[in-house]
Amino acid sequence: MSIDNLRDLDRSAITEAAAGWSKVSNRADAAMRRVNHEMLRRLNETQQGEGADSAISALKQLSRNYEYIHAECGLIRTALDGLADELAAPQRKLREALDEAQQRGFTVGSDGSVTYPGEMLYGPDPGGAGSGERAPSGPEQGPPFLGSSGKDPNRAKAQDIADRIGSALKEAAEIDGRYSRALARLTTARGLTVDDAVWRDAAQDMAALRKAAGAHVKLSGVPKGASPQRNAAWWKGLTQEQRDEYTALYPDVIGALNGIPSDARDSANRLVLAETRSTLASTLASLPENDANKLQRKLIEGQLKGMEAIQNRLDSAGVDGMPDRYLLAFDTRGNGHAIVATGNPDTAQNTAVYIPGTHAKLESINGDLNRSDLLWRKSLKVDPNRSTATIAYLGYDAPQSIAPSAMSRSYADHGAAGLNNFMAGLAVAQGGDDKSHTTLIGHSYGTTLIGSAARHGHLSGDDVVLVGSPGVEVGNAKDLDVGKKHVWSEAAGDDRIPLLGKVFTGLPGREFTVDTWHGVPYYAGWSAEVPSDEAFGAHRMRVDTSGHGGYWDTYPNHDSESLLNQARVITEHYGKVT
Amino acid sequence: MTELLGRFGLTSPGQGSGGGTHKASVTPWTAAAGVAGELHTGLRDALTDLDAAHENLSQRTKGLSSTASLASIRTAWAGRLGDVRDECARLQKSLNAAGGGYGAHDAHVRDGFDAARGTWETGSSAQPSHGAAHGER
Repeated sequence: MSIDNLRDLDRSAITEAAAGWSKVSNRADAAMRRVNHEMLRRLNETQQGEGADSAISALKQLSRNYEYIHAECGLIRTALDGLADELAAPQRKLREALDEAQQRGFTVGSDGSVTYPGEMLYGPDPGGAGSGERAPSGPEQGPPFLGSSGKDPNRAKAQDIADRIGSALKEAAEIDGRYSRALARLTTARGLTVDDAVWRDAAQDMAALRKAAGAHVKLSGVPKGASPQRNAAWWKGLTQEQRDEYTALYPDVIGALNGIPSDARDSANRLVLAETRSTLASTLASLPENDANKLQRKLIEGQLKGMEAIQNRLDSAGVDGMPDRYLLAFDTRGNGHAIVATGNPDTAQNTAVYIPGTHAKLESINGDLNRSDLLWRKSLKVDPNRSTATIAYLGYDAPQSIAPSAMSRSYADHGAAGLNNFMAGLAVAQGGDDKSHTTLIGHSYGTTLIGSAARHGHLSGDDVVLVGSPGVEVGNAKDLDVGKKHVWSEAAGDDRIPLLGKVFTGLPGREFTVDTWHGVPYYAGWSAEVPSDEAFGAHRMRVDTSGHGGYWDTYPNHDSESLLNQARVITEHYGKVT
Repeated sequence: MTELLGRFGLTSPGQGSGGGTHKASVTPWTAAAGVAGELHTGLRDALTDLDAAHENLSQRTKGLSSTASLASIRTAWAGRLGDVRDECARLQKSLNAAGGGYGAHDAHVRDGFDAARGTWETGSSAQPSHGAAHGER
């Protein structure tokens, strides 16, 4: 790039090109949603038969194509915006230096050398100002003016201008080279294939552009460890372009921001899901099948299974009348985490958060998604007039064994802040605590997490349902932040977990209380109380199912009371609770 | 007449052995076809707009090597976007045929979606074979 090139560079041409790619990217995102909502969903809802299956398959591929276009063209847009943005400074410095030279009557050569009326010819000094004089190459035009130090002040000035020109050109060349390489990566192939290899490349392109465009889209600009209110305010203050760029380059960070709208989190996390799946699939393929790799292979296979379950759920809007899904969180750290909403939690009148217990992890998330969907359907059945969103919350690391892990409060205590933050974020995204009637439904150790959250911070929610609870760290319903009247318990007669929890673990809270059996006192003193105990003070709902896992059972002719009672609390039909 | 129509896959599904699971109804198919048509237009416009956005870029950014990189990836993307645009057109046709007045048999509908897809899934740069499925002669 020459001096003239940099001086005359029209940066707006680059931003105009960027705007073109931005349009392609945004249109592709909108198109993907149209394919999902207006084509796939409708065909899922009403059609059966081979013809429909084929159409659905083709449409899924089309949807993936749009998702890919949205991601990659978004990266191209960001690269071009970054290029224009970063070239501003060297261009300005060059123009200032050239202006100054002109004002002083200096002449700037095409090689960056600066001459002034007088005799010496100075080129840019690589070592800094003043030290690297070149030999004079022109005839003397007259005696130089000597300042008091014996040096011609013009000489120093000329050197300075030459240095500034040189450094501006160098800076511009570095920027140009960096972005040129980043852009060259962002090519594509003909056809419609969007498979693991394609997504893996996209993930690598994103990583590369993070480095190349780090000065333009600053990770440090994203709030870290801030409150959901702060996150929401930050997001609101961005232009749509800025939101798109952050999402394109840092989808994992954006997708985890509690407080921002659910569709923004969903967009970001879907991208993370696609790229993570592909990257892990490649890793698995490259691991030889031998004993040394056995554990690692098993871990990856498990994670892929969970991811597939999530993807299938996201793809199945409209099937059996189910609504859109929103991926509110996703990562593969620890046991793997995901938070999946059925229905839009930002606008739903009723929201329910289902929290599973021991053994829950990414690999087996399908079961949790099933329960969440079941609660959604039954809530609609109990109250068809109000909208509901149910959320499967696998946002914490659950214990992976009953004994010894689930006997300890540590898993709940580690997950407490995360749950509180998530619930607070939901409320912010909904527009306030009072906007949606929110119920938390914990199962087994999931109840312990709820209790720990209430104990360690403020648990945002209206009702709490504790199913098969081994203890919730507090000994009385009044200590669960929602008020005693809003605490509900379910425990089957043959569910052994509550008793085991009460007697053998540190999970329950202790109260100085009087234990009663059907109102008859039998013990007074400090005792561990679990939610199914009378003294705990929760509404104990009728359970007509068996065992620790039967609370969501449905029968051929009817739903269980266990299940329906949960739906009644979710929909605020307290009067119908049995 | 029915036999003649049958050879061209144009008899409606109600005739013959109606299976219990076949619930084809016209509206979702034609609605989906309409959306496919709009998406086709959308991509066509996007490609035009993209060209406009790069007008005179090289003259206005002489000496910039990023411009050259951009030009080469833009060629690749123009091809890819065109492929997706063409797929939308193909889907519009197939969806209309599936839900349209003649009410195609499931197998023909499936073939309509599958045949051209086979070409694409190999990721080859070959052009799709148009009209491969519906017994066109």
